[in-house]
This record gives sequence, C-alpha cells and structure tokens, in this order.
Amino acid sequence: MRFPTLCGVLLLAACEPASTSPVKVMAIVANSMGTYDTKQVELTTADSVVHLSGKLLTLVGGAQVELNPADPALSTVTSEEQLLDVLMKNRGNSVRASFTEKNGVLTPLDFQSWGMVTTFYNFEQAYRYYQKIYDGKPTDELKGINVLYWAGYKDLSNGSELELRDNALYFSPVRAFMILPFDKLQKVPLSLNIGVIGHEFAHLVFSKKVFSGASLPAPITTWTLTPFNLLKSMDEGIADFHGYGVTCTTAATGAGCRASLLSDSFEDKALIAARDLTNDKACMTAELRSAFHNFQPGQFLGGGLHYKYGTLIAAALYQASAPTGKEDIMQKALINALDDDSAATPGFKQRINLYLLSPQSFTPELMAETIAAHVTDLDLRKQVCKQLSDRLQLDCVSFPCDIGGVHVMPSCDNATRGISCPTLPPE
Amino acid sequence: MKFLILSLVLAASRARAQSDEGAIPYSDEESQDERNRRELPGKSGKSTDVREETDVETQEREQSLADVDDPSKGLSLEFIGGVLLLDSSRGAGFESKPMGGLRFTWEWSRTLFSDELFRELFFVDVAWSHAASTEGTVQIHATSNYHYFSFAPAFAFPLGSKSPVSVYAQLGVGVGFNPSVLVINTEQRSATGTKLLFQYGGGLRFRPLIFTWGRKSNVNSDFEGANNGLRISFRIELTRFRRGYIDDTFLGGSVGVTF
Repeated sequence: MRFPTLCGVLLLAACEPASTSPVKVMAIVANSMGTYDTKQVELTTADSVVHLSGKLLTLVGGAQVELNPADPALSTVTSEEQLLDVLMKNRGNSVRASFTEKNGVLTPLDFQSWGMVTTFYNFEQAYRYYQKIYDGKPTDELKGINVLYWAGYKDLSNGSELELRDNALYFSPVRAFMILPFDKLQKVPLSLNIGVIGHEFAHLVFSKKVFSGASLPAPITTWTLTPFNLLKSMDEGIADFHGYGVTCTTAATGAGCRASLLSDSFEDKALIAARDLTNDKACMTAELRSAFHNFQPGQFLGGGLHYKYGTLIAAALYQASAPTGKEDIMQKALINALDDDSAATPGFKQRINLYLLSPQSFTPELMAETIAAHVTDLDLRKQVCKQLSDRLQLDCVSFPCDIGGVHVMPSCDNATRGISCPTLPPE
Repeated sequence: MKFLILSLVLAASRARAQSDEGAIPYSDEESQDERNRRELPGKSGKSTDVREETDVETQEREQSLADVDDPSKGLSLEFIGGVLLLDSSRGAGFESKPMGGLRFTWEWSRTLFSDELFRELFFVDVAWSHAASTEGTVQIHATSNYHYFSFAPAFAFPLGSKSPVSVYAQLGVGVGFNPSVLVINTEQRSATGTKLLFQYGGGLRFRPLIFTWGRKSNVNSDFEGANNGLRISFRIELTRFRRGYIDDTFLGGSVGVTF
C-alpha cells in the first residue's frame, strides 16, 4: 500500500462513523415480554450519530441550569434570550457517543452512549406519534429540540442548593428538555422509558400550541388558585394520555401499549398506582377537590397535586377511548383542542387568551367542554363527557355536554352522571 | 669450636679491612667526555619538529568513553500508574478513572551511538495500560474496559552532563481495545471496539544508579570504568491518547528498573 493511501486509511479509521440517515444502531427498548432488551433500530433524523444531532433534536451534554428567584439579574431581563442567559449557567457541549461498527450497525460501547442513542430514538418515536395525530398539519414547530442530557439543574426556589436528580422534564424557560441524572431510581432510566419521553414531548406540544412556545406564559405567571391549578393539571393529564399513546408506537419493537408509564422506572407502587390510567377507580376526593380550589400555586405544585388531578383527566380520556379502540380519535381531538381559532369550537389557546384577565371563567367544566367539542366521534364524545364529569365531579349544570343540540347530560342525577365514582357532597 | 669462631671473626675482620683499603682517588686531570658537559650552551637549542599523530592515536584520542562511564544498555521494565481522564461521551468534560499498566523501554541510542550526548537522546516505549468504567442503574448498567497498546518513540534531552534526569517528548501509534458489557437485569450483551490509537505527550524521566557491580577496564586505555550496575527508572508524564475521534488524557508515571 502506498504511503499516501496508508495515511488516508489510518485517518479514516480515526474518523467518526458515517451518519447518512437512516443510521442503524443498537438501542435499549421494551420488548413483548414487558422487559427491556437491545434491539437494532434506525435513527432517521440524525445528521451526526456521534454528536446525536439532527433537524429534529440535538443532545447537549454538561449543561447547567439554575433557577434562583433571588437572582438580581432576573430583574433586568427584558427578553426570552436574556432569560436564557440568566438561567443557563453553562450552555453545555456536544456529546460524543462511542461506537463499534459491525455489518453497518453501530453498537454503543459505554453506558452513556447506550443511554443517549436510546434517548434520541425515543424522541424520534415520540415525534412520529405527534406527526400522526397532527393529522396532516405542519409539525415544524416541534423540530429543533434541545435535549440537555444529564443536565445539572438547581431549583433554589425550593430552598435547596442541591442539584435535582431522578427526573426528566420539559423546561419552557430554557426551551429545552432536561434529562437529569438518576440517583435513587435504579430501574429503567427515565430517558430510556419511551412513555416518559412521550409524556414530556406532550409538554412541548402544549407549550407550542397553547402558549406559542413562550418561556414564561402569562397565565402561568399571573393566575392563581383554581385557574392556575387547572392549567397545570390538564397539562399533566393530557401529557399522561399522550405518553401512553407513544408507547403504542413500539409495536415495531414488539412491546405494545403501556398504560402504566412509571412502572418501568419507579419502585414506589403507590406512586405507580396513582398514575395508572387503567385504574377505573381513579376518582376525585374531597381533599383533592378542596386543595384544587383553595391552594396557591406553590402549595398545589409542591404537593404534587397537579399530577393527582391530571391523572383523573388522563384516566377519563383513557377509559372513554380505550375500551372501544378509539384512542387515535381521542389523541387527534386533544391536539385540535389545544389551538382552534374557529368561533364555534375555540381551543384552549383561544379560551385562555380570552379569560387572561378574568381567569375565574376558566373552569374544569370549560376544559371538559373544549375537549369534548373536538371529539369527532359522537359516541366517543358521550363517553368523554361522562368520564370527565364523573371523575372530576363536574358541575353538570354548567357542563351539559351538548351534542347535536342535545344535552348528553340533561340532569344531574347519578344515573346519567356516575359511572365509577361516588358523588361527593357539595363543598 | 673455638678455632672455628676465631676464624670467622678473623675472616670478618679481614673483609672489613679489605673495604677500608682506602678511597680511590680522582685523577687530577679531567678526562675528556664526548658529551663535553662544561661546554654545553646556557639554553637549549631549537627543538626538533613534533611528529604527526598517527591515525590510530587520533582514533584513540577521539574515542568516547561514555559507554565506560555508563555501560547500561537502556533496557527498562516499568509499572505504570496514574489517573486516566476519560473523554466523557456525554459531553461533560472528562471522567477520571485509575489506570495501570506495563511498559518496556529500550534506549536504542545507547546501542547505536557512542557520543555521550547522542546516547541519551532517543528511546522507544512499548506499553500496555488499562482503565475501566462501570455506570448505570441496578437494572441496566454497563462496564467498559479501555486497553491501550502503543509503540512510541521519544526524544529525550538530559538536564546536564551525565545527568540521570531528562525531559522527553513522545509520539506514537497503537491500538485502543475497548470491550464492554451491557447488563439488563441479568442478561449480558458484549461488544468490543478496536480503534487506531495515536499517542502523544511528554514528561520527566529519571534513571539514577542504585548500585554497581564489578569494574570494567577499557582494553584500549589505562582507564578503568566503574558504573555498570542497576538503575531505577521512573517518570512523571502527561500522555494523551486519541482513540478514533475521542481524546483521553493520562496523568501519572511509572517506576521500574533499567539495565
């Protein structure tokens, strides 16, 4: 071999693997037996498989985010870019996954490379799910995602200087997803759990559709009590339902739908049960109802009550659609309900903007009405009305659930309202 | 018996009498000596031309005795130890892991060169070093092993004449061997990566003499050397390994013996 050719071969051996999409890689995915295994998958949007970046998303390593309400720099912020500068103490670096290649398939060589590749794949699957339920509408607003992988995140508003662990979240102030390091969670890491990624992706969709992607939406910063608690709860509940929907896209890997998103990653059985969509006994309690109406945002969120209320919404949507196999109609209805500028069926974006200065008009009944109005299947719509009314203990007078000029719920007696939940006495 | 003793005494006396027969007088006349010492000039005359040095004499004069001063062949075996700063695949700088290994060094310039300086300038390392990393949860975790096999020539500059300390710089190639095992529940999945390795770095190398054995005489001169013996070799180094597109940094050193 001539010397220049030898040099070229040596240099090529030292270069990154070729990244012509689709790239065949090994990832860790759920299998048909309900466990996890390695499987060959394809990354279809990666421009660089080593740096795990592409048109859809980019993984960023080593980022540091700090939320400090007492930071004096926050008082001088006048733009979202400035807010980003204040919160991002370290913008992070490119990741460099390590692979070996055999027969055109890349296999990761260390734990983090396995994790990053699988995370990238899960985000691609989630995007594919939303692309389907956007039902032909453009999805460009969902591209260009930053995923801060293994990010350092401090929330000093909690009074703690410790970096948070064991979480995955979409953080709108930095317009990025954050995958936090695990500590106490020793099962399947959250970013490897496709249901969790699907749930977090739903928050991005909610942010883009309802708040136009704003870092600090006006209702979040100005609303309190019931309107604020409802806004956060419906964000979580809809995300849980979509997270379940994303798990159904794993038919290609044989895993199938997983309604209990957290069971793969959490040990706490009570927590898992509390977020299980298949639980038809998920009902409002007097304590939750009282907190929903009377707790300030910090107290409501601090107690995780937005997850509890959100699970009631998610369970209602699941119980209405799953038994008849109409989840896809429900999923599309939820997307359409987020942003609809038609006068007859305004979406959440429109209603929130309308009631921005009179948030007391944004009620659970209005939320249920908005969702039901976008369900195209009338039988499904009836079930949605009944499930939401039952589990959330809605005021049937203000939520008649009008279908074709006929009130689905003409009276407030238990025969038409109650399905699974006992009727609570008035507050 | 008395006659014998008397005879002996008389004989001895007679010997002494013969030595005392009187001094031989000098002649009053100076005898002529062909050297005519009293007529020699007050200063010496012009000296004759110095003859040219022969080739053999020149070669013997220019011959370096450095191999007599230090006859060691420069063969070393060292244990490597330190910390490997693994290039973090998740883009968080580096992750430090302990590293160990073995290194064989040949100071080949001692064999090829006789000049005192040139003998110290070059050596070559053949090394193996290893680090490992385990990460993940109880249910899903992976162990990655990093083996570096390298061949690296070096240029060393001694810090002073006959100094056992030199500063060196090095450039080499090799193979990075990276077997890893992913464990999901109890099931194991193995994969191995092999990448071209480039090595570069430098440090300080020490090779002080610990003890000597025997004396070696140079048959071409009267000089007797005295430095054949055992040397300890150790070094402090910073070495970088580029395995494919990933850079790892080793901070540490090694210790061993040199013959």
